[in-house]
This record gives sequence, structure tokens and C-alpha cells, in this order.
Amino acid sequence: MAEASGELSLDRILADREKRNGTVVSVDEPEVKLVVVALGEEWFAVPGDLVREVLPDCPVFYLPGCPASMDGVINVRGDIETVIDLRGLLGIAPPADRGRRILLCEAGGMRSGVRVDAVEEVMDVPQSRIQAPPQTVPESRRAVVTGIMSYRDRVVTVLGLGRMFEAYRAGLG
Amino acid sequence: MTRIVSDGDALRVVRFEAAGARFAIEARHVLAMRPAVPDRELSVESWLGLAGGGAAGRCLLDVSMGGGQRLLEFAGDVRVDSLPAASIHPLPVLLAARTRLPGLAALALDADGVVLIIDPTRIDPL
Repeated sequence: MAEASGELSLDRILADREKRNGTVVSVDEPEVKLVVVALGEEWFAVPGDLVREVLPDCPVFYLPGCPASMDGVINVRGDIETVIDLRGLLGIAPPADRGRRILLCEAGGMRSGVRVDAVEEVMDVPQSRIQAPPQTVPESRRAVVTGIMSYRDRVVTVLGLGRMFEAYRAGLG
Repeated sequence: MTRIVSDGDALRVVRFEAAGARFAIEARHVLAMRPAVPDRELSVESWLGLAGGGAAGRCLLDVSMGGGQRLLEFAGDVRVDSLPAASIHPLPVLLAARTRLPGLAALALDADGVVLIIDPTRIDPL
């Protein structure tokens, strides 16, 4: 018997159930790897494919004549890399304790360590979960924020590492 | 013909300390060294835009710079030394862009940390 409009059917029940279960993620949707880091109560994410490694706290050699946001340089297996304090770069007040993790990042032909308080997660997320940055992003961060997403009931601000290094080179922080 | 630098090569430098950091200048840029008369000449700290500089045990170096030469006053341990070529690194891009230290040309790593290598020919004599 043909299904009359509004009449209950198995297809209808399943369609309704699917709708209630939320959005179905297409397996073909491109994903991005993100490293989620904490700076105090704020969470940020950087593209995981640009993070070469996560270094434990290691000796940082102070260099005079550098901005306060540059901690100094570190010795990574015989190579010298700068260490930028992400708090200083984003204009976030320094914590009582210095951040204990350094992400060694490479983007836009530049490489540097980036100091953060903690690494919270490394994960793959569908690109559609990352939304455009809102108008409320502070002026000082606009050049480096590429999007926002929600994760564990928090707003995570996604940073563009290439943009960040370029802005830092030009004088940000 | 340009000589190829090998790992066994070393750069002759004059080493000194200023503002709590370790520095070196290529020895070929240092023309002479002699005891200092206090406060008569420009201190190396002023030359590099750094704070501090003690009075005790100072000496004078006659340093060739961009467009001339001048006497600089140094405190503490100033000595001729060698830095292995393999220990010398170009400045990382972000450091090169943001340093306010005049003449900073390279960094060297040794057992005690980092040595800042200054090229005085990149600094105008004051």
C-alpha cells in the first residue's frame, strides 16, 4: 500500500532517529590535525602538521637585546632554535610558573620553539568544525587567529603558525 | 679559490662578557689591546646598547669597525680564544629580525651555553 502523507513507516522512523542523533559526519570530509595547548584558562590550537616535536622543559639561554616575548635560544641536538613565549606574543599576562612545554614548529620557512603552559590534546577534527574567527577577537590577535572551535565545552582559538611567525618577525609581541 | 671549511677548523676570536652574557669578536678585527684609563673611552656595554659595566680590571681594545676604528673599554676576562667552526651557527630567522643588539652576526654553542658573535664592521663607530 502506498504510504499516505504523514503516515508512520519504518523509513520515517529511521530518518527521524538519524535527525535526533545529530549531524552525520561524512567520512570523506577533510580533517585537520590540531595540537591543543593551554595558556592558563585559555585554550588554543595550532596545526599539528607544522609541529615537529613537543620538547620537555629544557635549558633556555638568555640573549640580551631581544623582546621580552623571546625567551632566548635552545640547543636541539646541536642546532640553535629560538623560543617564543606564546603568552607574550598574544598579550596574555605571565603565569606564576613558567610554561613547561616547548612546541618546535616550522611554518613559512621559519622554525622556532613556542612555549606554552601545557599540551592538552593532539587530535584530528573535520574542517567544518572550525568556524571563522568572530568579530570579538581582540585587535592584537586578529593577524594570527584563523578560526575557533568548541571542544570539551570550551572555546578553542585556532592560530595560524605561518601568520604568527610572519607577524612576530614584523614586530608583534 | 674559496677554501672549504672543515669540521676541524676554528675561528680565532677575542672573548669577553657584558651584561651577564658571553660575547666574541673575530680576532682579525682587534688591532691592539692595552690597559685602560678608567672612563676615558666608550665602554663595550654602551657600544652594544647594554646596561652595566664594572670599573675593575678594564682594558682597551682597538677595534676596526664599519668605516673606521675605535677604542672600546672592556671589563673582566678578555682573552684570545678559538671557536670550533662546527659550533658556529647563523642567527635563527626570528632572532635576526627582532634582536636590537647591533652587529649580532652568529651564535656559537659550547659546554657552557651560547656565545654571541659580534661583527664590528656592521656597526658604525660612534
